[in-house]
Amino acid sequence: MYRFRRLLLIPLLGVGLMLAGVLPTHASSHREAPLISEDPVADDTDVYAFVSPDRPDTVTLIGNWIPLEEPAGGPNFYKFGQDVLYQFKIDNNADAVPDIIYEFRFQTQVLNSKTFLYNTGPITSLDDSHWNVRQTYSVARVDHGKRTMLASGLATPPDNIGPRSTPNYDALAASAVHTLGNDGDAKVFAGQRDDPFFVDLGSVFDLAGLRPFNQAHLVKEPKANGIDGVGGYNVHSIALQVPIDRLTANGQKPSGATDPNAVLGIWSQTERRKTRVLGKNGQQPKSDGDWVSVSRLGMPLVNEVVIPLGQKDRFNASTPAKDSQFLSFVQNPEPAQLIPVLYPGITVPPAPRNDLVSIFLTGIPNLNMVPNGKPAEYIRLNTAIPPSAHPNPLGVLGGDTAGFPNGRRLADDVTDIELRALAGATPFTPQFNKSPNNLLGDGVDANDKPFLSAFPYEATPWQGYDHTHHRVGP
Amino acid sequence: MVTRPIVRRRRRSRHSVSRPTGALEAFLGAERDGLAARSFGLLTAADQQDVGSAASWAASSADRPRPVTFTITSEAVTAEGEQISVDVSRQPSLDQFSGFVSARAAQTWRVVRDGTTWRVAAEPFAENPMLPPMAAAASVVDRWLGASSDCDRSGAVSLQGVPDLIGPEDLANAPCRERGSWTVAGPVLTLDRAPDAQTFVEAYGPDVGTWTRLVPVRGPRTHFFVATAPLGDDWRVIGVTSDGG
Repeated sequence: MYRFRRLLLIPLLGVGLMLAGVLPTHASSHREAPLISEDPVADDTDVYAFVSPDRPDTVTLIGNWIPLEEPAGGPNFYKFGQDVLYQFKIDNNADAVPDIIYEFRFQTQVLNSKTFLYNTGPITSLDDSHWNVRQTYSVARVDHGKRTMLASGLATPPDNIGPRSTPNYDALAASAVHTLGNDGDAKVFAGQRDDPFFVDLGSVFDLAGLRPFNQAHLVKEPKANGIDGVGGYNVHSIALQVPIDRLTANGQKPSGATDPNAVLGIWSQTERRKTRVLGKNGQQPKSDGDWVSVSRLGMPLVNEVVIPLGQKDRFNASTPAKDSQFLSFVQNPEPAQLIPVLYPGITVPPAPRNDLVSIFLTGIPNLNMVPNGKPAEYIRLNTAIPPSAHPNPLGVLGGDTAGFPNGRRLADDVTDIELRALAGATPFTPQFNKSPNNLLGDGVDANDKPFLSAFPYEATPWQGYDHTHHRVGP
Repeated sequence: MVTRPIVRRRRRSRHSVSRPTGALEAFLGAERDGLAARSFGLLTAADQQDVGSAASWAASSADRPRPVTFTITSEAVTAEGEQISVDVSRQPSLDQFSGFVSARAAQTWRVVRDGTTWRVAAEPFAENPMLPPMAAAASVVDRWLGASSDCDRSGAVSLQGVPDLIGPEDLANAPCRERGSWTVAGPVLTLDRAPDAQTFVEAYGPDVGTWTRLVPVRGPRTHFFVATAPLGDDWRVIGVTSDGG
């Protein structure tokens, strides 16, 4: 077993060669498709799934919504959509159909509609009467088509406003971690956090530039360090920590990494009512019809740069069970075709890219692939692989099988990993697993805030008062 | 990608799908018994294609209220096939995920011919919940007002259909806060009389207007609507909303 890991340990060659190939990448799923880019409260930016480092008998699922939240976003600070259905879906038998679904619905309460203020004094507890605009939420679990209400009326923390309004924010946020006693003492949290994703957005969208490799680009710029384009921004997170045996097909903790029940397929799906009609004279819009999917996210990158513009909204509305319709885009991704144009002299594997099909659609043999599983785009997590004592941000490419693309941890540098994978710098295509392909990166290798060591792991959100949206980096 | 065929073992049914009513009875019986693969096999070809697979149909069964009992009441031939009316009973419930499930409902289903058999649409094209007498809603609200004005939280919650009421907290708390007489102040109304019904739509779905009833209430200084839902054989308080006054 772990054949892939052994292959990864083959020494890298030519690491000093600083020619660079580049692929356009993206904020993981921030504003990735035309329709959802205009609907931030339903826009899932990232999904993470990992065996909890401090509770290895559990899996932590995190989904983030509302991309690029400016911390000083008052007076109407950011909140979840109360007309949106947020979901984590789990496939535990590799048929690309969800076996277990966690659902979340939010409700907003305004204590006093005669003031414009979010809060009328310092907020020191989750039931503080100074907190004027607050949200609670309900959680349900659907297990093979049977829905169980797990909790309702759970409090979210306020947004992190500033020292006068939210003077002890960490304590407020900690008190918003709830235990679901009827789901194996699962933990749940929903509220504002620092965006844990890190990527050089500004350069990547400037004709696919990677600052450390600016001299290799068709349009040369001075070499520079990467700048975290989502640094200093917040998101709204839903985090869930569930015992592994509550998610597996046989209801047991897997016996080992080769146990067919060990691998879970995980993605988020965000839904809205089919129609929305605006009212006159400031009336609330009216929603009608069935729920329809408007955002769907598993593996980062796929809908961002693999699926073409004309298909992105369809992808968000679709389900993993119907991913065969998108296969050709994974086998021959547009970014790979752009490389010779933007970086003359760089070569990547030819289509069809079955290496990418393994990474994104079927899982990697002897790691997180289920034999005879249905190809589908979602995160595959082998829950029998314990958390790494020394996590490597390059995950499996760095010899750390507890990391991406075996699940996804907060600190995994998925931008660099996927750049290299798209350039063929993996053991699947050894002739391309060499410099410069295996050195590619955007120069942003870590988040701008340290993560917490315990649930919900994501860092405290940036506060508005003392945060100017400065350039994060040199 | 390779699409694997769905291998389905057909169950023998006591309902003959060679008749429209037999097909619907077989379908509802399978849904009642939790046999999603069986009910999927009775769907029209178009609905089967739309759903995708028996596994997907099973996964979505939480969004289909399961019948406890059903009785076919009429059958009519139309250009599109047969329309069959049926009275169903279900386990009543109300939450933000399933929405409202009435204890009893009158449904109309469309059944279409497929060769020598008949197939059923994935959902009824009409459904009308059977509601308890409207006057009972005012009685429940009157008791809820009594408990609330005594600041008897547990007594009030016992008359609620949900633990957390929809609507402005200052209105929900007014009976406890404002000392004096609180009374039901008018006849039971439909939800369209509320200036802001959207909060209820967002919480419980677009059909909320068909089953929610409003009871006007008045205290020493404040007046508003109390929203009620028919849960089982009685009404229960689910929220409060401004009466626009």
